[in-house]
Amino acid sequence: MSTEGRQPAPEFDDTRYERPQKNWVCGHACEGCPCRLGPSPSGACRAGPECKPLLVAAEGESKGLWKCTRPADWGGPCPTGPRPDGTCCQVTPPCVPVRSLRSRRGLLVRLTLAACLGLLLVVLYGPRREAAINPGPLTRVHSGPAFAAAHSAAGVNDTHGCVHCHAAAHRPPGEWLATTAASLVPGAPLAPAQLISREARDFDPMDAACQSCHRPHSFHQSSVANDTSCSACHLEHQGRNQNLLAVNPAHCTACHGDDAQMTDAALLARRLDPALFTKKLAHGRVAFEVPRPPEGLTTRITSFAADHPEFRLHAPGTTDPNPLAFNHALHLTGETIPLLDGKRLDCRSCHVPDQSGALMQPVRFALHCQSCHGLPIDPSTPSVAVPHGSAEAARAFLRALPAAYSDDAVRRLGLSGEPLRAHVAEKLDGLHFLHPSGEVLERKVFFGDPSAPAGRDSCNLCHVVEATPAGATPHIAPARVPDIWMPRARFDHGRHTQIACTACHAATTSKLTTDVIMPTKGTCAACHGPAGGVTDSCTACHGYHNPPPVGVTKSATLPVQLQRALASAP
Amino acid sequence: MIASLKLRRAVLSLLTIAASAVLAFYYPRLETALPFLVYLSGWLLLLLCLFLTAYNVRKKLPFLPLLSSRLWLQFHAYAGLFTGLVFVFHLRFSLPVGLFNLTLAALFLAVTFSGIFGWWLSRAIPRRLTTAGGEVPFERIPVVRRDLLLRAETTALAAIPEAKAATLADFYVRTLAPVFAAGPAFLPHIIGSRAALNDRLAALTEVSRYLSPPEQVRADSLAELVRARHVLDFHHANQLLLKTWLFSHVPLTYGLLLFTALHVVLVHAFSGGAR
Repeated sequence: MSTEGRQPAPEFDDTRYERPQKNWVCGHACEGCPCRLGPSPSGACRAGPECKPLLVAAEGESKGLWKCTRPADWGGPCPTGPRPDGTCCQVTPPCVPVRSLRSRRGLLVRLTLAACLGLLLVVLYGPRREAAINPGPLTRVHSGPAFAAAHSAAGVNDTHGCVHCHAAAHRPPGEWLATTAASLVPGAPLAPAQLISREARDFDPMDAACQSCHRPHSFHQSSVANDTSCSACHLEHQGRNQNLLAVNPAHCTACHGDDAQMTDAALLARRLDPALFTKKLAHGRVAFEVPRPPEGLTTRITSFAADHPEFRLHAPGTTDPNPLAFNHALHLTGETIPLLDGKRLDCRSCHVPDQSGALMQPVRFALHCQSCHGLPIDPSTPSVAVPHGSAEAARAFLRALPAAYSDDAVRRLGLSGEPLRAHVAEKLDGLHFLHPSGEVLERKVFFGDPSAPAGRDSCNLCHVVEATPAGATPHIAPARVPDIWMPRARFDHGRHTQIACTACHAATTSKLTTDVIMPTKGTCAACHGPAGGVTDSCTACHGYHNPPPVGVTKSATLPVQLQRALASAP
Repeated sequence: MIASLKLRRAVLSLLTIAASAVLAFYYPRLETALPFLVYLSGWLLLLLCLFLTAYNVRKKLPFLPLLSSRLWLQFHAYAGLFTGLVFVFHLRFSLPVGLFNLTLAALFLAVTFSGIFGWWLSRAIPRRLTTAGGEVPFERIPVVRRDLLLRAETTALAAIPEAKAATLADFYVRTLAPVFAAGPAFLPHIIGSRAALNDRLAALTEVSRYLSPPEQVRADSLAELVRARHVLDFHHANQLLLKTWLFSHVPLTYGLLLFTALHVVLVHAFSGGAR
């Protein structure tokens, strides 16, 4: 009993060799007594006599004896021998052969293949083909009733909208094979050699479908060496809520990180109309213009922190061209600056975000300056002040001071008649005491009083005031403050409110208007880079699509231009 | 080729880990450099699938000098694991959404997990069989089973003239004959249950109190045969499992290849550049 579980293999006839690779086995095998012959290769039972008796006749005999010829490995001649009529007496009982395990597996493989093939054929030739092969829902903008209506208007009847982008969608599946083969030949867009290219896919017919709605649409800079297919960056079939504008920065560095492509683009840019590279701005916007260098702006960039060039507004020799004199440091830190509503001035006292929160509203004299710089004529009557905005208006005001004092007394004190006349005369006498003549007063308003300590109420305190021939109005250079300092990038102040303004803008140390107190690339990269952990995606600041300025159009397709430019390159 | 199985296993494990590490390190970085990387990973996946399927072809062509089947199986297992990783990167760590692609992914996962299950079986079952004892080819099991039946019948009948009593023979006819004549059980042996064996042995012990000494000897022989039958059924169940897991792995593999072929056609026919 102790040998249970450890006993040797059961005895069996080792003269027989199992052949599991055979497709059929004897039907009696499961009973443990398979016939020795086994089924035929086609699965037919070969049961029958175990031998074919041989008639052996001794020399001289005419009849002879039937001898059993059963082979030795079948047990040798049987004891009973053949029947007198020469037939074998050992007849193997017939059976219904069954498939071997291996054969059943093969059959299952064939059945599975047939089922898969049938299923695929039903799907591919059925009415729900588009739904089945669709790799994912389209975005809301590229699906739905409005999109379907646009298709029906274009003569396309496709509820899923596949055919609008994929010409193959309505072709029979058999043609897909030819299309696939064509896409793999050398030189084709998806040829094996192309797959290891760093260049994104070039324009293709699918982009024409994009342009049929997104028209007119321009693609990047005019000097781009290789245009890129829309679908290379804007990935569809990623779900109904997919943001098509969210682009992988890898698509940018695929070209901008490639020396060869950047060299091609730079060569092409030198031969193109410089007006093509002017940034188009919204109407009314003023941009801080930095001249485009002769060699262009095309450089190799692989990441913002690593090799993005310094911002152009910090190029050597670049200054703020605004003629207005303003000392940021004095206004923010000066002890002589009066308090505003009991508080010291800060950036928000003058710089207020616009409605979007992205940019700052322009600084206005009436809103942000006048409370301190009120331009009064007479300190005893601050409500009578020189109007701001026009030298001519200021001069006209100075020449009509009696009317100004009279209007002020009527409006503010409610005087009339004799008291009014007496009030105006008193004021004019007082003014005459301060300023001997009207010319002196006018000069003090426009050019200040050289003999007095620097006041804060003359035009030239902030503006450049140019003297003109006698009798003419002095010329005041208007302020020119850009709305957009970096026209080729975008910035959203509203998304940076958690950091102080002075963390990026060195306003507390800037004393001159010519100072460009915009952040440097290093300031941005401290956060927008691997070290800072904030996104350093190209699209965080830059947009790919760059419409050319109004009136400037590309006269030829870029590849042709590129070829021409490259051909004439030294 | 490395002769030692353990050394070969260690080398292949290291190679697989190294290849996986290279893939995991470089794939995210190459995504930023190669716009067509998903096509490349797709082709790599297809080549790996074809290589894995080639093992099945190799087994059908034993006469060709294409290394041993044992080596192929090892390559097949480790390459299969690596293929699973490539698949995950190809899908960018997310399940596809479309019906066709979802079916394709499900097929791939089914093939992969059935392969891993089979790999585990091929490691675990031989150990179980060795522990159980005995060694019998699967195709011979019915013959051995019949032989056990005949021997049991002979043993039971032989006790009648020796003891001049039919107690053991009656017991055999009533209790053990159906057991020897029945087909093999499957599930109890897969889970390693010995309940049925213990019941039969207990019944034999119970009847032994009424047996004469000659019948006791025959009863002991019958008990040995009952145990042998149990071991034989255990072999049958486990060997059957070892053979039938391929009934899911192999057909699914060919179904996967068919779906993959259509996937390649769809990708190229519907890609923008291919129109």
